[in-house]
Amino acid sequence: MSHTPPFNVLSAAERLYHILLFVYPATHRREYGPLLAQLFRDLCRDSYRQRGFVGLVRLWSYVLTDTVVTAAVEHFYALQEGGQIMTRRQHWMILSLAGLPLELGMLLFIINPVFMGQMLTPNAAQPIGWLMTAAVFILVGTTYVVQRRIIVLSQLSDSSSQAVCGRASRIAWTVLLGPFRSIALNGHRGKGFLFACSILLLVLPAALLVFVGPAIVTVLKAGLYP
Amino acid sequence: MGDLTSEIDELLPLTPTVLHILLALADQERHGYGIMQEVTAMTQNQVRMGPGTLYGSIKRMLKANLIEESDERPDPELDDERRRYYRLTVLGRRVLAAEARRLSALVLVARTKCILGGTEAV
Repeated sequence: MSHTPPFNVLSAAERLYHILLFVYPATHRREYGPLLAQLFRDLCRDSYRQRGFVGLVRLWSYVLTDTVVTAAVEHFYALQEGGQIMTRRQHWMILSLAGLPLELGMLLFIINPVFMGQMLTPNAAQPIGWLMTAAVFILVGTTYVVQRRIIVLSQLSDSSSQAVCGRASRIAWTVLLGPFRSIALNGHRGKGFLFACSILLLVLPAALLVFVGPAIVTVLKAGLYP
Repeated sequence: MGDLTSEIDELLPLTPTVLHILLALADQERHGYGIMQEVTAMTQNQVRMGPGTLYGSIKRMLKANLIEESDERPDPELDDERRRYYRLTVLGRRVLAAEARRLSALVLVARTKCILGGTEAV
């Protein structure tokens, strides 16, 4: 089946992609932005011709994932290559990315029991409860997998990490800290910063369990979960 | 010669993305979209690269001197002049050949261990 792409659909998709390109580092965007945009335009035309709107939706689903993952990778490469000092904006962006699993986990674990406890009857809550729990695991799991991929990719040209961390502790530090490690290696923060981050990462989930745990127990006792 | 061999050895094994891009450029120079189409055709739709993955890899392959930009246009009238064409360098071709030999040796091991069964034609 062949579709002729309407101009407005393609131009809207292209404009959206242009905006999306801002997640890449400026140097990468300047050099490869026009090429990325042109490639996306070609892909859009092909996908629309072959499958219409369904093709466009499928294209967006993998282009979004691809852009998010590769943008993070390019940011790490940019930091590692130049030994640049990060701008405040980059610093906060990486911190937010690193904390994403925690933020999502916190948000959903808090919303879940509150929402179910106040808004729903026990029977009606069962499928929604499962769905929300599944959403928590999928979101946290996906973010963790993405973060792991970023860490693995960022290590490819990272020889200086050996100087900071010993072989044995390096794995643990990588798992625990991920992006924070790169920040320290680029001279933006020292080992103290890494240590503070690791404490934060260990303490926050514990605090989360202490505060959210009782709420979950209440919900379980009330029979809201099957 | 020794230097080149050690340089090749350092680059192996290649990542799947780099291997597919090198293979796509083995027979002719192509632009980004051409590489993507060739990879899709070579792998019967099994490997699908996103734009970010493709150009991220191209950037690092240019830096590693595995590929280079080409000034020539296969058909300047039909083609958008903003497109950039890429081709293999001598190093890129040798690295690809070395990787193909490495994979071929692995397939041989798989054959001797009867992993491929009787379905695979020799």
